[in-house]
Amino acid sequence: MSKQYYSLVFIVAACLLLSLLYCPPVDIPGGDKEVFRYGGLTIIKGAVPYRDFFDHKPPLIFFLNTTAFVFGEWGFWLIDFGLVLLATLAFFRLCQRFRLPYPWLLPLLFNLMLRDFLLEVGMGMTREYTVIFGMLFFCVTMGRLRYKYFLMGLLAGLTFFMQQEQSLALVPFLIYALLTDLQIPLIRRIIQLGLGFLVIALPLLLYFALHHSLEYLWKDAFLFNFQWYTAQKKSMPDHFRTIKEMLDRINYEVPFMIAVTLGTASLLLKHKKKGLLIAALIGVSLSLSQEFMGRRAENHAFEHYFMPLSASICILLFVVFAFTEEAALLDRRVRPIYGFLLCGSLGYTALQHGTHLKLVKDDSDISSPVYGYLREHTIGDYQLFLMGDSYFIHAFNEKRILSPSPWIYQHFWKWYPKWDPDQALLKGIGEDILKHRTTYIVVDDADVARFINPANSGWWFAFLRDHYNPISIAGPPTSISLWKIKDIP
Amino acid sequence: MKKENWSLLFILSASVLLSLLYIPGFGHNPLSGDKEVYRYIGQVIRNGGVPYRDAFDHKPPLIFFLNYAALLLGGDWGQWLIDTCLALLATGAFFQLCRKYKLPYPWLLPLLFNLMIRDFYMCLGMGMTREYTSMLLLIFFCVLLGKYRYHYFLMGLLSGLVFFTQQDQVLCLVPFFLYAFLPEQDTVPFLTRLARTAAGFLAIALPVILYFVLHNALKDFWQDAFLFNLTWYTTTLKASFGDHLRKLKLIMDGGNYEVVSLVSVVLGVCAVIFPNTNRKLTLASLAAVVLSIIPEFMGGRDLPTRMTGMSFTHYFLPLSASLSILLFCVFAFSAEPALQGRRVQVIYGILICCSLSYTAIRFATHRPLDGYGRDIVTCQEMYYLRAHKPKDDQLFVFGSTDYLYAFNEFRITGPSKWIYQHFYTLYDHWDNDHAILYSIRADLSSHKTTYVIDCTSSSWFRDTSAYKIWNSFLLEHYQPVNFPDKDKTDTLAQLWKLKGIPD
Repeated sequence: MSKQYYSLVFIVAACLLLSLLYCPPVDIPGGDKEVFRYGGLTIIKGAVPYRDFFDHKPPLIFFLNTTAFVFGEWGFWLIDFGLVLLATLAFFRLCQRFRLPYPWLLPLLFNLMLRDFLLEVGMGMTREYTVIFGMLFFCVTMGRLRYKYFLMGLLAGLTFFMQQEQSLALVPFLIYALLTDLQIPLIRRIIQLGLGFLVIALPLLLYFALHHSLEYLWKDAFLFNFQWYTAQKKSMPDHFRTIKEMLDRINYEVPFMIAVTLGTASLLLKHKKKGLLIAALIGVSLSLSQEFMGRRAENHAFEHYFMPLSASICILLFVVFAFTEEAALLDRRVRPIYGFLLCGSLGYTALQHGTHLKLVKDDSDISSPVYGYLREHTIGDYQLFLMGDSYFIHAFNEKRILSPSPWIYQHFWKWYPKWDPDQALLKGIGEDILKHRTTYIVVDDADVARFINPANSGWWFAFLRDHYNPISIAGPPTSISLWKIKDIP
Repeated sequence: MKKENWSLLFILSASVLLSLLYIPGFGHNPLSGDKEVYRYIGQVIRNGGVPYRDAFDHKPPLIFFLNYAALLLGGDWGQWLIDTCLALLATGAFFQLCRKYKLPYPWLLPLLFNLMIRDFYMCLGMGMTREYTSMLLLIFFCVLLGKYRYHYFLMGLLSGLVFFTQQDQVLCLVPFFLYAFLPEQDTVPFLTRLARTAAGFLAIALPVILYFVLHNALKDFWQDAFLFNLTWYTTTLKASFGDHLRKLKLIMDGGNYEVVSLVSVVLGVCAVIFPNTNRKLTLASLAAVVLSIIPEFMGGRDLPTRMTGMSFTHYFLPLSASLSILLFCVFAFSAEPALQGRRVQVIYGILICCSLSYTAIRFATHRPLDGYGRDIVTCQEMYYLRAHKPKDDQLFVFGSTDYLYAFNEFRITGPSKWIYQHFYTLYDHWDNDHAILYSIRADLSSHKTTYVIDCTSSSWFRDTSAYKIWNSFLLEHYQPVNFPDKDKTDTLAQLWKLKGIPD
């Protein structure tokens, strides 16, 4: 077997092993992922995202999550692994084509960053997929495929309808491709791009049009983000502090520092493709755009916002190493040094995580007495509602039941002072609950207590006491309480 | 002015500016229990007392003498001056060395040293023992590569200073000693080199020993500063090797040492493998890096619950010298183009200094005043004591070395030598027969000590019988001083006043 095949086997094995760190038995449920999974469940049950449940993500993630109910958890894992493997192999081929001395190094870094345990989200986040699409987009941009621009448009569409702002990071490469590839007329390239984009956009728009939900899609997945999600600002130094703190915490500091230092240094040193280098540097900045769009990341729960760096940093390093003409960076011996530096810390973290895996059944939420109670009882559609703790959404997905209210995602009451000032939304939730005579309500008391407007939490607790009785369940003290509708034995 | 002089000016200015981050005064140099102990014992010496005999600590004595000297020089500013001058001396010597070995940017590594030793996340301000041993280590290395007349004597002298400031730190000098004593390193006979080194060491050791002999405290010195560490400090609370590694990673991450450690060690290992004009010294410096953090592996000072937090960060401060030395060896002796050249070293320079510089600037412009012992300095107990001005032996602190600050502010000493009582919360078998606790009670009773700041609770003591003895003594002889807003303050301290003493 040639050396190149060994490299290929190595990188495929690394990709598989790192993906196995998040295979179903050990992929701990997380708030956002459970919401996406619930979105998939609503589609499977004939309901429509946005109209029948609220989220402000674009729709592709919900359609992707339908596969978990069609093919099972392992099927979903296989799709995820397959996508990462595709991006890894495409990147590996690119590194081979441009004769990088260790073509497996950057794809390995890509996998280590993407599967970094300290991001604490496992598999299934929207940005994981946009990272994959971003990497594929770059490989296509650098390739000589027949349908190059069509594919670029297709991948841009996938990115846009998976996580809106991540399409920004594709723009520098799109501009680079349009400016440098002069063999095909510009108009034709734009048409091809547009066609690729429409292949994704049209079926989605058609789906929502047929379900009379286009307005919901527009309002929730797009307008909402401008009106609320990006409206809270923080100062530029605060953004930098957050970035520094997050890079430290998620173990991205060394790759980030090396990539940006080498990228910037290459601008000043001899380099064959400075245009592409500038695009890659801008790509890194734009992959952080979500941090600059609001002030969510300051509360230490948004590490996954930095996941797109796993593609943009690897792309920048590729551009540096593939096209540099600087002796100091061309030296074969320099690469292993940077290789150790780039992968050392992340490799250690992956190893540590791999040797200390936690089973889903041992998760504190899943193994809690309240969850155990819900498992023991048969609960049908609309007979369970959750207030506060989004981790319990896992119960909907496990039991394959729908919530009585579209509002399963309730962080906004904690984030925005002007959210639901007259309790109209809460009253809507109450009406839905009473209409369906929902049997159980799980409440995270601590979470509800964090509602910014005390009138909101006050209304909710009053509603709860009026119509529900708490169920006493033996177990250690916790902020999670279970309530049962009055008059039901 | 020549370019080289500009570089010297730049690096000395940087050293002073970074030292200025920790000027005396509230909100600048953080208050920390260990430093308060050192200052307190300096105060004991000034009052005619003797370390170990009149105040317990398990550090070697030089740090107490240094604090005594600082008191003579005017207190906090005196210490700042000594500290800054030592940093300047180490920086200047290292800069000269880098220049001598024609490093393209001779200011780069001295700057790294200063950034690391003043790293806000790690150093706990100025005045920790390992800060001084780091400076001494760097000076030692400069002497090692220098051509001084009293080369070996100076090396011995510096090792003596290190040993009597922080014992374990002498270990990281060992690889350099081994290198210095290699036959090919010098034409001076081995025994002569050894004798000169020993003479240097004795120049520190003898006066120190003589001092304790003259004060009939040699036994106390031996038991507390040495035997104690071997019998208690390094043998109890063991953590697994994996836990030590995890702690190491955590502190490197949190303390901003990660990039520089990773870059230095990777380059150091590569420099050993690649062509090198002084492989032995590079190997010695790699060994010194490992040995400079050996205290982490010598025991488990952290309670298991604190293993995941940032604590004992100052144990990693010696990396500021050992990593700078390692990088010096890489840049000065490697013959590999991948590690040489101005452009390569600019890139490494940015990598190693960028994050630390950002932190220094951020710290300079955004001082976290609340984290600097504000709760101690501004607590109601302190205001009360300021109003009542306790004299010598009229105040005792139990359960927190942070509150020794009170002694140092009032420039008084306490009634008991046991000022450092963490061992009740650390070790299961500490003071099994309660002899120490009874001696504290006796000292407080004989001096009719008016005030006690008690920071303990039943859960603080590992041995519940010790808690009962202490608590019953307090209840019997003292009454709590209550403050109306007590529950609004963050301090755990309770001030007690001797019964029968009028307000």
